[in-house]
Amino acid sequence: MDATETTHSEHSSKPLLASAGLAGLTFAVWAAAPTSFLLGYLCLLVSALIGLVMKTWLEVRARPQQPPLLELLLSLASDPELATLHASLADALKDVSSRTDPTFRKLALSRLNSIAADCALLAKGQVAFTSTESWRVVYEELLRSPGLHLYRSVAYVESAHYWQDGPGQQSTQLNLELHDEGTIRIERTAIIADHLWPASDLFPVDPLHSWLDQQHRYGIWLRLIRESALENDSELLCDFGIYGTRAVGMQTADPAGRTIRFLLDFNFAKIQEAETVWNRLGVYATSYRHLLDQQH
Amino acid sequence: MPELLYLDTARLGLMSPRACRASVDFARFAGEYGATLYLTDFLKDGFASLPSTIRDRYRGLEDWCGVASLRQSLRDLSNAQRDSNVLVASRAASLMKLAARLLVRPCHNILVTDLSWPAYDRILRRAANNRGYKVTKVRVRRRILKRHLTADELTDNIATQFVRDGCDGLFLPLVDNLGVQLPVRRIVERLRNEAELRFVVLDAAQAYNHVPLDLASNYCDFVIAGCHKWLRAFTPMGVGFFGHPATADYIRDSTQRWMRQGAIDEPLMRFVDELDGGACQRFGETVSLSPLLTSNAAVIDALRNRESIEVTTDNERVLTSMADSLGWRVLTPSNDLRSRIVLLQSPHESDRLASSETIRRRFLNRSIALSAYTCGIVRVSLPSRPFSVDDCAALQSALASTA
Repeated sequence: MDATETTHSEHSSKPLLASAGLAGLTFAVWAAAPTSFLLGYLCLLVSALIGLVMKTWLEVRARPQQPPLLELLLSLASDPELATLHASLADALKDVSSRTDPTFRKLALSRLNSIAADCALLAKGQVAFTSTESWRVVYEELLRSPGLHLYRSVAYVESAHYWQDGPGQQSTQLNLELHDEGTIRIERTAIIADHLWPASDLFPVDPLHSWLDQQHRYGIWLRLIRESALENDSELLCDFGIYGTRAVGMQTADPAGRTIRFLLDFNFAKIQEAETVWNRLGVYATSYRHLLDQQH
Repeated sequence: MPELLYLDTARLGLMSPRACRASVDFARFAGEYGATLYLTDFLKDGFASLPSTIRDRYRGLEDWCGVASLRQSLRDLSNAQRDSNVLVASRAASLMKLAARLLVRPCHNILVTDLSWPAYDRILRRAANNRGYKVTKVRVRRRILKRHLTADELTDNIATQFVRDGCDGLFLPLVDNLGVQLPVRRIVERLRNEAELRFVVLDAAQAYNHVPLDLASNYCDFVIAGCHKWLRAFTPMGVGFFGHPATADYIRDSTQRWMRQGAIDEPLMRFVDELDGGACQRFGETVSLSPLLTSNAAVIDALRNRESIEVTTDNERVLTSMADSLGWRVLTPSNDLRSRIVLLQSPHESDRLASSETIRRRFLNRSIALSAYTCGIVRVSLPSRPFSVDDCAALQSALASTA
């Protein structure tokens, strides 16, 4: 038995000892003292008990910001996966708190703050990815998930090499494959920077044009918007995908068109907001089919 | 026995003379030469590739000049552009399956009418339901036949529902099986102006070589036709046309991809592509070649005997006035929706209770072949030659008799 267990057992036996002592004293008073003394003694005990209860109640009320621990534990108990995680985190935190090295504590607090921020994001129904590879895995999982029939994507293209790197090409291929086999229907709106789609040109520059044309040849419905068309509606300049009615994914790309951050949001309100943006973009968009019509 | 008056082209056309000769001579050729290299040479390079001794014996095959020539003839008959694409399949239903796949890729709500052929309707619904998409049906047949809806009113009706229900795909017959000729071009142009029309498929099974298809103007994306009705090849063969600049690449690439993947299993289409491209699949499926030759011959017959619209109008006038005078009800749509198919309903209670087979047989006993339906309705496919005196007498006699 180690020191921690000894302390714990000592703490838990104290109330029992106190109760036993009090019971012994009451028995002695009952046996030796007159009835009036016994009554007075009992009144004193009841008053002390009421006082203690009131003190505890006032203490609880004085600190409303403290998490309702019992309620939390009960709700987590109904989710075994999270309950296990919670226990493991609590144990880890306890272990961390037992270490006193100041450098270790500084490092640990910094890391734990970052973990707490991630947890807060998760609690809001959001998942952030900074590694391209990890989000592509989730992207594929989402697109292949049962019950998803429609994927609407808005690509804010500031580089002709948008989605032209290895992972980007893989994602394009995944889009084509899933759309072609009928697993989901994909529609894409591309907001294209003016230098990539000069006003005098019918189509955007290559390889962007080829990227779009390849999708058209698979039957993906495409809509195109010149960036300058949105100058009075700049809040519509964004890069996101709507996964049925389940999630919205917001993408941040670097100047070379590579994805550097991806935020998945599973809140229905956000999905509705994204749908509103999608519909508003439709006002400014030209279908790729219409451009092909104009070509001839 | 008097000569048969064949008025059942809407079901299955009389085999054209060239198609008949091609069919007979190909059967003879098959009996004597089988699958020798003569057959391979003939199919690839045409009749001229055969030795003269064989050519002299099978003159009925002289119209065959290879797949490219067949495709061009089919294009010419539909007035399609020279660079448009022609698909050939053993069944029109295979092409409908392809069309349904093509429709449901870009579209999420496809508008159809109750004029569609039910089997095609089912194929489309199956393809759409598999992906959770919508098919919106507009019911117009009753209003066309009973309230004589005009082409303008019909266009308004369809356009209104298309916009209201947020449709983006369209599947229409050019002529339905009861003879209603839809103003498809007008409808498509209207929808393109008022909504986002993504893909248009037309069913020309009752229209090919019956009404002008006028495909050169590229008003639709994909057209399905057959050769056994108004083209009169008798042996069924499906034909698909596409050439719209906006969707030709999508259709071509997707068709080839789905053929490679086996999602579209059409042996004749594969065989014809191989003949055309020179590549030969070693373990390909054996296909019936007769439809290629009979359809080719029938197209040549049709191109050489372009039919006159005046004759059809005269025939219609003769038939409807005769039927009218005998108390038959003429169920024609308004003038601008008519085709060469006329529907008549018997005034006799006994006819209305009789089976379609009984009515059909009664007409056949008077040497007239036509289609019959329940409720005493008959469908007459007007011939391209004027009715003779004997024809009129036979018609008069058949219409006057009761079941």
